[in-house]
Amino acid sequence: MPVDGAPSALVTIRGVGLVRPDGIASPLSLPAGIGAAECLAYQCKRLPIVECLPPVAVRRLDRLQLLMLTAAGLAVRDAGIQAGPSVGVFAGTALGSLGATVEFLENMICLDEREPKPAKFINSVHNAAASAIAIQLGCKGSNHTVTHDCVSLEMAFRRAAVALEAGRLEHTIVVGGDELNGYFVAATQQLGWWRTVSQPLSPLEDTGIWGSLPGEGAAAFVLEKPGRPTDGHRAAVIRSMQIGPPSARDSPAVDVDRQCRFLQDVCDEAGVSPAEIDLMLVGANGDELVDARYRSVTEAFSARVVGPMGLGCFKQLCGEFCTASGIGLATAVEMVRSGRVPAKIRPIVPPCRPAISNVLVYNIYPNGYHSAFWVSG
Amino acid sequence: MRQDPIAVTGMGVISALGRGPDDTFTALQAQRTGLGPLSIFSSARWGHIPVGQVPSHFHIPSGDSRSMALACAGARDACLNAGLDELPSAEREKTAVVLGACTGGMLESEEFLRELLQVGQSDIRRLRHHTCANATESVARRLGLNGQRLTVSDACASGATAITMACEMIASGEESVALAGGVDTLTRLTLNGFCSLLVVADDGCRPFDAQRKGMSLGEGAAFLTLESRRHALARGARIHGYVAGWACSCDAYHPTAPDPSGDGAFRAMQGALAMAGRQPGDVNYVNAHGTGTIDNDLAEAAAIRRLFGERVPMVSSTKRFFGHALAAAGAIEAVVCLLAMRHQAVPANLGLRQVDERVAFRPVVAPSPASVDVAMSNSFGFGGTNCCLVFSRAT
Repeated sequence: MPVDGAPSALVTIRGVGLVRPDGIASPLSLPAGIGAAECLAYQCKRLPIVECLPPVAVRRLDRLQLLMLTAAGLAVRDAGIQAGPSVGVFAGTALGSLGATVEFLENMICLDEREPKPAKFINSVHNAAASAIAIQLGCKGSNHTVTHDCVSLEMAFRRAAVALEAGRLEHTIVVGGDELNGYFVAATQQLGWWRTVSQPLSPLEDTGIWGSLPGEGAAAFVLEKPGRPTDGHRAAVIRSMQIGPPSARDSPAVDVDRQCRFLQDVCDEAGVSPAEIDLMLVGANGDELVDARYRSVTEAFSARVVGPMGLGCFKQLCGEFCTASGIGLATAVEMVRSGRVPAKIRPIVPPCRPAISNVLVYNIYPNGYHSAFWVSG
Repeated sequence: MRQDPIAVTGMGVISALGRGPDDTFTALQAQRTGLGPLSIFSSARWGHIPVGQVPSHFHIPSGDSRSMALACAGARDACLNAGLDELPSAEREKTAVVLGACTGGMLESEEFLRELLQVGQSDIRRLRHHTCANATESVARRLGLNGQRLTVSDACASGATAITMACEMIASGEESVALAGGVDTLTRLTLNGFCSLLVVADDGCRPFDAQRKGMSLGEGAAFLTLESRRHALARGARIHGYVAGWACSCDAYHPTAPDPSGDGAFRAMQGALAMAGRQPGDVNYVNAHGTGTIDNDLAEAAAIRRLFGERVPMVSSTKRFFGHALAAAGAIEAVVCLLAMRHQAVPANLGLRQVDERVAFRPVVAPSPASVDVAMSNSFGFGGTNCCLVFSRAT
């Protein structure tokens, strides 16, 4: 709880880097033998690599490394920091470099181990992206990769904040990302995750469609400890960040009371009244079942403690992937930085106040985990 | 050392040497290598290479992945060893599970892909254990531990970095107790991958030896039960030792090769020692990462010489006992350090015949009685990740 009732700050975000699809879904070919031949997907077609990295530095990197490294490079540039021994990297990825892994295995199986591809093996390790960030940006502090399913980004963020609080590092680069991969999409298609109709996502718009659309992307944040002597460079502060554990795993129903208490706890930890939320940005993904969970929680929370509250979604920009919460967080930071809701967000409920100062990013995951970030300007 | 240091109250280990700290110590003292034939899968090209495989009598429950089964066995042992089964439910809500893992359910995923490519179809249920977090969640669920669950994948340093993160959770007050360690299994991916890099020895690894040819792969799981000394004493737990200091760094040099100067490794060792409030001269034993590859051993030796100068303490790599168990290695070697302090005996650097003169110190060649009050464990990984743990003896 904050001292003297003043709003607390968990961590300061100095800079943000974002790599995401441009909000347009296009067909993705799927491998044979598992299910459908293709699926609509949100793919990152253009990576702004040249803005932050020399081409020679990226030629050996695979897709996830490029996504995460680009996001990190943009964030460092935005933050205006110098890398070195006191800058650490905390990456979060649920599935790592699936493309490199599959390529290595396909080759190994089809050629009966005769011509293994060492470069693919090197890129297949989960921490390849965090390593690439350290090498390219010169970050010599601790370098960690969290891989805990859908909460990988949140857990990486929490560990980074703890490392700053302990004084081990001056800055941390937190980066979350996952890449699109045909095998993953085809396998999860069998589980009913993806819609069979060719219709782009419009979360919380009551379309009655079952299934979402897969996506990819990466978001990076340069963090520093609040209260640190500063040059005034600040994108946002995180007043509170919490990860809620699963209760009844695999239960399709959401416990609305528990979720409302969780959101109230986040506000309490931030030392801010829920009434100060200008916009709640949620991870609804256009799947009728998933959206219904968000609808029930946000309506109950609004009715019980908040009153009228702006409500928006972000997965129409990037599709669904395990670490998409990073896209939501980066979008929220941009909102409080600019003081306005970008048109691409298309709020379901418009914010009551003209200037956006406080955004609550809220995600519920299929395995029962849930998370929230209170982002302030 | 911290005012309320992090106590180790439980240990669990399963490896090529068997299950449990006692079996492990017996094998270390007997200088019995765990390296032997690969039998859990076939490899047309690399099947002749000795590996550190968990003995075949270890039972994999139906429906479990190999990784899950190893992790659950090691974690259960550490839990029981610490008496966590008697923890009241309120304490279980503040007990974390932190796991280092690299391959997750890859062994089973490989079979899915092989069937798909060779037969044209496969059962997607084979993929249900694919993610590394699957083992973490299984451990927490089966043991009824409801604090944070965290999976880290920092390549071959993962087991050690998991221990550092668990220590931070306790030190920061986030959790009361943590079960922390690592797991990895032998897989076709890692066997083919490391062999393709030409860093695997076909006659078993010989760390720091002048004629060394590379590493040996292994598998296993190891866990430590960690809590503050105050918490351990309050519940009457036996304290095996303390994690007195820890630090991590990154070479930021190359995706796989270590910085030849050993600077990153040095910074991790220096940082861990500083946190422990110790001087280099206080260290009695260093369990080296010592994979047996040319580059790794030289970089680590450079870091050791830089830290200790002319007074290098007893050093050994235990990789020829276990094979390199990747994410489990750092946790297994943490147990080795605690055993060295408990038994006041340093394990040998098995396989060493003639020291590489560039190493410039002489690792321990036979198990040796020694006064071990402070032990250091190094773990390094792909991507230049470095982690050092400093343990002190329970008094």
